Amino acid sequence: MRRDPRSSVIDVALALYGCAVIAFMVLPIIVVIPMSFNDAAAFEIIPSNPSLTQYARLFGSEQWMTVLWRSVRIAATVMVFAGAIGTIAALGITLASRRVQPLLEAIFLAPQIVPSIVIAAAAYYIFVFLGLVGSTLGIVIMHTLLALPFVVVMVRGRLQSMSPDLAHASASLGAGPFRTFMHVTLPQLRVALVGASVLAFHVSFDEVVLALFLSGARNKTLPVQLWETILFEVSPILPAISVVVLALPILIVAPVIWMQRRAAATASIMEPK
Amino acid sequence: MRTRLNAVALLILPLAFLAAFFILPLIFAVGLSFDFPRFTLHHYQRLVDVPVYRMVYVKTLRVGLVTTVMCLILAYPCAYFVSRLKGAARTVAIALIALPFMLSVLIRNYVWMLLLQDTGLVNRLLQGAGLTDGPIRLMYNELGVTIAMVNMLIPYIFFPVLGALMAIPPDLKAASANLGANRLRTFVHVTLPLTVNGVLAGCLLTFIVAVGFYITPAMLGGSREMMISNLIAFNVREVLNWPFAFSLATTLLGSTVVLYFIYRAFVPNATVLKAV
Repeated sequence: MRRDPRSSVIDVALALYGCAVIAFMVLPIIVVIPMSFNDAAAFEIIPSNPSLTQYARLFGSEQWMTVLWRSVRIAATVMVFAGAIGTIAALGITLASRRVQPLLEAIFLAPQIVPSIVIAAAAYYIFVFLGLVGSTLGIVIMHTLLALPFVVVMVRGRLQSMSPDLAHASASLGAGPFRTFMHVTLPQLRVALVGASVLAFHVSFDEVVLALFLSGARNKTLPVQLWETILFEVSPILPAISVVVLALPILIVAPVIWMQRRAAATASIMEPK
Repeated sequence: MRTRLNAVALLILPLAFLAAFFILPLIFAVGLSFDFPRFTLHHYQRLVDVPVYRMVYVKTLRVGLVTTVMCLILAYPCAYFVSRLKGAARTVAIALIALPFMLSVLIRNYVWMLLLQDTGLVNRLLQGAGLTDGPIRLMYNELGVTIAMVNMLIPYIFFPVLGALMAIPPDLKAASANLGANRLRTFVHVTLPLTVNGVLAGCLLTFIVAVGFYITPAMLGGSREMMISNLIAFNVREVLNWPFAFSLATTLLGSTVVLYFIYRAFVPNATVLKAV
């Protein structure tokens, strides 16, 4: 192939532009990590006296630990609820007639499309009557709603790629639908479910708009506490919290990726070449 | 017939959950914006008549459009670059673009506040380079809001475009080159038409998400740079004017739903293109 000198100039320009955009994307993460090592006095982008002061303050603060723990509890509950309801919904959609499937999909994706503020305002109004404002239950319910689309999409994607032969074989061997689900379908869904659960956890753990409306003064979540700290005070503790909040999902995601790779490796061994 | 019954049995619980905590509250909200059980357009009239509210709508649309265009300008060439990378380099590039999704939304906005404030990194660099004498106002205005929103929304265009680019069989470009087309002609006549649906889908999604933004305008815009979402929150939390808040919410909900249906109309075409 002939190489045009103009062509390589374009390639270099394109590579520079592409890398600049990627740099712009990772900038927030690059900035926040060194800042978390500031000591008590200074607040610099690159600390002159790196220390773990802010981390010590964070883990020593009863207020921050309370909201962090509450957010973890809420997110874990949401993970279970959204995982269960989303899986049932995905199974139902897959069994429904082809004509209504797109409609059902659109309905279950809708909570992800409607702006959070609209959902928050509407839910707040209803929750005032139900007495759910200021309770963790209210937050769990609404976070489950927001996490549901991710579970439905991921589980449904897996169900569509699965061969129905195994389920048919199980049925023809006399297993009822429930046994077939527990012993044939569910094991095949495992990886998709773990991925969906991680996403559901992240959706809840990071959600601020609904929590801001529904948490009240006594049941603040970590994002609500963060929101108030960011808007109403300048605190050198914030970058340290950011790093903890950043690290938590990565700590959860890493084993999932490892599991998926193992599952993929197993699958490639089992498949006839 | 059995499977249909099973489908209904399975879907009852999830649909009931959705109805109780999503669909019904939204119906109540829309109803209340018309003063249900009476009927009035009074709250919508206010929306049109009061200049401040009109301005909020204009600002929301402007920020949404500028953000979408900027995202496209940045994301398309980047996706083109990434699509031509090989193996591990491509995986790393994709991971780096997706990584910020793992960082808390609040933290990303907070970092932009730190970068863009008067004593922030960007202003110090500009002054250090002798480009400006004093700090430039990069925050508490539309510029700051747009910069942060572009940063957060680039993946919404990057990934659909990357998907469309990777779906183009390499043979097509080779065929175009064999027929004597240079790279520009190949790009304009082969690559661009095959990615148009990815671009449209990505742009629509970006715009839908952008007009509903609440956190970024609240943090980087301050109290004067309200978008529709902030005006809704203000009316719910501070003024307690529910019907008016819900009339704002209804306009946002309506436009989002319409745009979403247009978006869904594009997506099947995109998959058809992938199959070719």
